Amino acid sequence: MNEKEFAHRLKPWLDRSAADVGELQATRLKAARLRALEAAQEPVRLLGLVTVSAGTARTLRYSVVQPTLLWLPLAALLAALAFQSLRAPDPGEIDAQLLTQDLPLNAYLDRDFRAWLHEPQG
Amino acid sequence: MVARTAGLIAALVLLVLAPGTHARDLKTPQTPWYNLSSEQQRVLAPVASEWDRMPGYQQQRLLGAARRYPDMDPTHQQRFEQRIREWASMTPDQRKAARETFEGLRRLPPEKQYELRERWLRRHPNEGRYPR
Amino acid sequence: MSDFLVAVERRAFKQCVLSVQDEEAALDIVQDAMMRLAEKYSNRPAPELPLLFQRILQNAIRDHFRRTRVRSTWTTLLSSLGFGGDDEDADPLETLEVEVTSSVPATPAERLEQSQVMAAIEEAVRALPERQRQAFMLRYWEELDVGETARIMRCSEGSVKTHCSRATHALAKILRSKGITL
Repeated sequence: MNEKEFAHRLKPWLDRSAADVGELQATRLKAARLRALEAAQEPVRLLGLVTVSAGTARTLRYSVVQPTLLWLPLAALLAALAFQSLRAPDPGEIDAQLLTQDLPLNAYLDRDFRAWLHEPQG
Repeated sequence: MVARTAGLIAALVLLVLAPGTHARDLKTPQTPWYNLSSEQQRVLAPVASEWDRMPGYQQQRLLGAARRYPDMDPTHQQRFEQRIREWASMTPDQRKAARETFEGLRRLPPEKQYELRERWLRRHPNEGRYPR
Repeated sequence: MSDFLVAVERRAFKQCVLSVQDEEAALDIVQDAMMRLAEKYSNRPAPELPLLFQRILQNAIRDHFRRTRVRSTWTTLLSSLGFGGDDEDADPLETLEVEVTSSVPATPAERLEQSQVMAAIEEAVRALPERQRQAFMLRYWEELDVGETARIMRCSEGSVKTHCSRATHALAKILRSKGITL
């Protein structure tokens, strides 16, 4: 039996030992793979304005991307406005809550209290 | 070329949008006291004497807060009545700072919010809970 | 890219475990290698991936050894015990009985026997000096050609052949000493 033949016989054993990797390791390997694939799709900035995934940027052809770029800022503006109107139905909401919660107004102006908001959470 | 046009649109959007939020506030027309409904006048009575000197955007905010008054429980209504004068007399910067603090507090987990509120109230026993 | 990683991840892990002898470190190395491959080469055509991946993986293993340095004493110890040396008195390949057992074991006894064989093979591979194991794995497990293996190992094609030959003889010798036939 020569070297190649010996190696050829050994290979299935090595393959099987790889296939027999423990369940925990297999799960962790899968997780690692998914993280890696995610990293490959990391967002790419276009014109410093809009971010799309690297995968998307590659998939879209130049001819599709370029005209779309023109409309992206406008689309973003509309989305932002829609988002704003959804989030802040009217400006009185926060004021109404400030005026009715159990803490007095002084608390919200208190320097110590403001500092506590940034203390690390245990 | 295309990129430059897109950049131009973006710049225009920013020009329109960014100062817009402020400009709109300052341009908000004032609402004279006599134009308020009797319900609004009743809720905002504590600030009646200053009302007509307030900028339009502040009036709108107060009206927005007052709109919720009928739906508040009695404790909240009482707090509202007690605080609204103080609130109206604060400077715009103070109100802005208070709103920021409030929103910062609201972003914390509920148990942390509770802990901080209790901590402050313990430290300031004289400022106790409204209603006193 | 995804298909390639699925196909290679367990083999890469096993390769690392046999090499660095530490499952945690092996997982880190494989994860790191997959990340680097995906970040840098996700737009490369699929046929190029195995070679690129092996280059990254082997570099990562090399970096690991550079950091730990534990392995060198281990290797020296084993070499001094006669493993991986080139002082073979007879060619063990000549004396190996040929008995192919690649079918699924039927009885529990056979399965136990198979797991013992597997353990013995893994142990034998572990015991190889680093360069021999690396050459053997790349050539015969990853099925790269001599030139590709030489580039990854940063050595001449002649050295690759020498390493492979010594590794094969050492493995055959160890297995034979345990009465294992392939």
